[in-house]
Amino acid sequence: MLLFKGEQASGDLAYAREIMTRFLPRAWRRPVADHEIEPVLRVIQTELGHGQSFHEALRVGLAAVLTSPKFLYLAEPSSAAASQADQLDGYETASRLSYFLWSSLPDEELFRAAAEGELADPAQRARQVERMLSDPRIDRFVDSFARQWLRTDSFLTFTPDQNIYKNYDDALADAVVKEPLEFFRTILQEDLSVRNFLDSDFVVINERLAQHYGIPGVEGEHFRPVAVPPDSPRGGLLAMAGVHQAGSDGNRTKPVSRAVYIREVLFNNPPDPPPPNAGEVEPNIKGERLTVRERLLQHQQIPACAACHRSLDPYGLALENFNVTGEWRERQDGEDFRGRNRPSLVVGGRLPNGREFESFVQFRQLLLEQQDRFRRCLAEKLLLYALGRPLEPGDDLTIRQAVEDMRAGDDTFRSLLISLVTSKAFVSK
Amino acid sequence: MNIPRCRQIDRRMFLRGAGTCLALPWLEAMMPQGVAAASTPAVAPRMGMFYFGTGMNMRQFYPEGFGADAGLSRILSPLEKHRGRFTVLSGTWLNHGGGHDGAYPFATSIARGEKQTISPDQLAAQLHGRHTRFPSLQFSVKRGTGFGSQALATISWNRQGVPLAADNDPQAIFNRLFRPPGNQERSRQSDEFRQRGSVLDAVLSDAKQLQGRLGQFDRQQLDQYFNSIREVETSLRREIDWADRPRPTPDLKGYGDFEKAVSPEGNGKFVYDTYAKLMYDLIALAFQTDSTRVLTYVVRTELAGGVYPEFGVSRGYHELTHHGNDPRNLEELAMVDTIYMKHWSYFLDRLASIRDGEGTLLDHTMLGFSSGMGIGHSKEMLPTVLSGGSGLGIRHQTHVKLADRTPLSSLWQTMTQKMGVPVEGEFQDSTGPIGELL
Repeated sequence: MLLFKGEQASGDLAYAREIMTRFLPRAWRRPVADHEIEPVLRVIQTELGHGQSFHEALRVGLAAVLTSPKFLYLAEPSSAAASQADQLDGYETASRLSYFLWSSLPDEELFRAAAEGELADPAQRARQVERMLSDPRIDRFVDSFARQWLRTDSFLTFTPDQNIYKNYDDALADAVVKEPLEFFRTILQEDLSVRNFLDSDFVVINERLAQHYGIPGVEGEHFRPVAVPPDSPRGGLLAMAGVHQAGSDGNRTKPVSRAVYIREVLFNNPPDPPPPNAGEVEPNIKGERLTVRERLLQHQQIPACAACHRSLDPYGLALENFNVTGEWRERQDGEDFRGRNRPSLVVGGRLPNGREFESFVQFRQLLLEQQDRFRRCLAEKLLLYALGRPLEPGDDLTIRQAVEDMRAGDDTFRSLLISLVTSKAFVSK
Repeated sequence: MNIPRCRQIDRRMFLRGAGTCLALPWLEAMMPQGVAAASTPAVAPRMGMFYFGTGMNMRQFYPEGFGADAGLSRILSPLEKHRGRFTVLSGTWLNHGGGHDGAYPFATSIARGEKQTISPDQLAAQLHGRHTRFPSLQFSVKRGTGFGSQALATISWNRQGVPLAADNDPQAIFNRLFRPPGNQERSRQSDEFRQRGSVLDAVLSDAKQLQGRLGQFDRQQLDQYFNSIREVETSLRREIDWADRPRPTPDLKGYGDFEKAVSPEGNGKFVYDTYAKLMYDLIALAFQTDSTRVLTYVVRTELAGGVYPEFGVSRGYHELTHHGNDPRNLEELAMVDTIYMKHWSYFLDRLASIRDGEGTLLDHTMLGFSSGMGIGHSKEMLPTVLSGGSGLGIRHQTHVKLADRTPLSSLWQTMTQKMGVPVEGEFQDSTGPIGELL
């Protein structure tokens, strides 16, 4: 493709110029002025002058193109016309779109739309989003945005204790990281509601996970949507084993870090950082058989800790029925808890908004009542991802509009993405 | 062409500027070549900084009592035969350490997420680097920089606050230090030098075109790019200077087989015990042959997940550090810590067995190790030990109690000063060099 005249063409500087004239606009994602080609041609000329082959000379030239700041950065230099100083031009908009949804450079259609000035029109941008959503490259959006949003990279930070959790194996470790991403992919591809992250009547699992969750009839390594059996607690992000493992330290659960995950990932509302010497939940002294919850509540008695923990812990304690590996349990396990006399678990609590719950299922119901907070969180995370900068107070209108548009659009990613891409913020520097 | 291939670039990194991909930045830099070549002292001082991620079991670390005769703890017991050549420093802390963010402030006192600055090893490299083939070396159990993650793979930062990538493959390091280039490689090398030079000219002119049209913030981003370019240029000049000087050929009797070494992510059976010894041997050889005088080594990264079945330890190191006061966890933690100290003792053996001027290599080498946390993820009670350097004026006394919360930077200041680096004004958050050692 690069050597568009085929192998027979004579390798001279004129041919190199033709090659670079075609290649640079792609590499740098915009039209390239003639004088911009000169530096790379000088590189090629030097190599040819030293007796290097045409291919070798070209290779060194390509190294220059691909280490140039014009390739490495998405440069959005100020434009000549002062009236549009903070507006992206067509090519910059094309790059913003393609790096947002495809994590890569614009394709020919986007270049064409940029050249014809279409991308200043919100309706045309919406049309491009529709097209890009049905392209296989949208998978990269899952692999990049979903991975960062759901923090799947941190799921395996702690390995479950091999002496206590003998069923835990590599296949399961692999599956618990993939599950939320495959769930995300399904919601995106099938235009399902993002409320499914709060609660869903299906899971997206493979055989190993199905075995772990006790769901029969799932065979093979590939992930597919499966209806949640009526008596199963699964459904929604918070019933996924990877989330439970991330919020555990190998032999016991860490309700506080599970709570922090929920506040940050579902509500974009991180709690204040703990004081430096906060420490951890202490182990039982010999003879004691206190559950993690009971030991955590002791901590809450200390006035300095109480204020924060009262509004934080209920989120994590609601998940206590899921053990270190995400298995459902009714009684305390892990640590030194063995045999029949294990204390049974209490999971009830009261959310900061005053609503009370007695079980994980009720808790999940209460989260669904807060779906506007969740919509807002998702819109904020996506806008930040699209623009590559922190949000500012001025972005509030964009976010509120996005929440409106989601509600009106069945809460699909499609409705959210189109809302953000058609906003003014999306085409501003 | 020797422009390193970047691994897949994270989109965020991309936006923040991928200048760090450009090449290995050497900081040696700004000094005119050859100015001080005549005044090389008879004995060269060396220094090394070592990072043991995720703390240690500090309940079984500190010696009993203070002073030269303090009784060594279980973990430190392998160092008994080196009594008089090391000092355990109680009371050190890292203001921005603790949790798992301690690798960032370790050498610079600057918190994770803040703009970093030059680390003490690089200050020393600026002074001593011009005498050696490598101004400094960065070793680690993990390749690269690991920048962004808690498991940082390097503790060296250049003047622009860019992390310097570390090497983890004993075979590759050995070749880099000692294998002479063949004839073919030599002619390839001169092509390479020319090619890198002309690529640098081209991208520099591209960068200049962009420069004038950017806002303040973006101009800073681009400045980082310019700095990287300058560093590549400097390192290129230095490589050309050294290309024709023969490499040292140390006597390798009694050393392991570097050619068959297995790196942590390499093919073959990785045995940590073998690996640790090879890496320490390479440091000894690098100092012995004066290939460098400054080195950092991340012996264990933060959150390191390694297990040690060969020593009968059931859980990973990170899981063990969340010991929850469970006696079994603390026991295994102490076992692992002791293994690391056995390797340290092996390393000191090696340095003490090599003649250097009037004394041994260990006499002329200061080795400081510590961690980004103490125990239970604290920022206090760091496992801090200075070894070696008696011939440079370090006065060892086994166990010294420093004032509570003495910044770790005080140790770095002590070492940097003994390397002959003039320190003007404040040195990080240091409260001054540690008088007890001088």
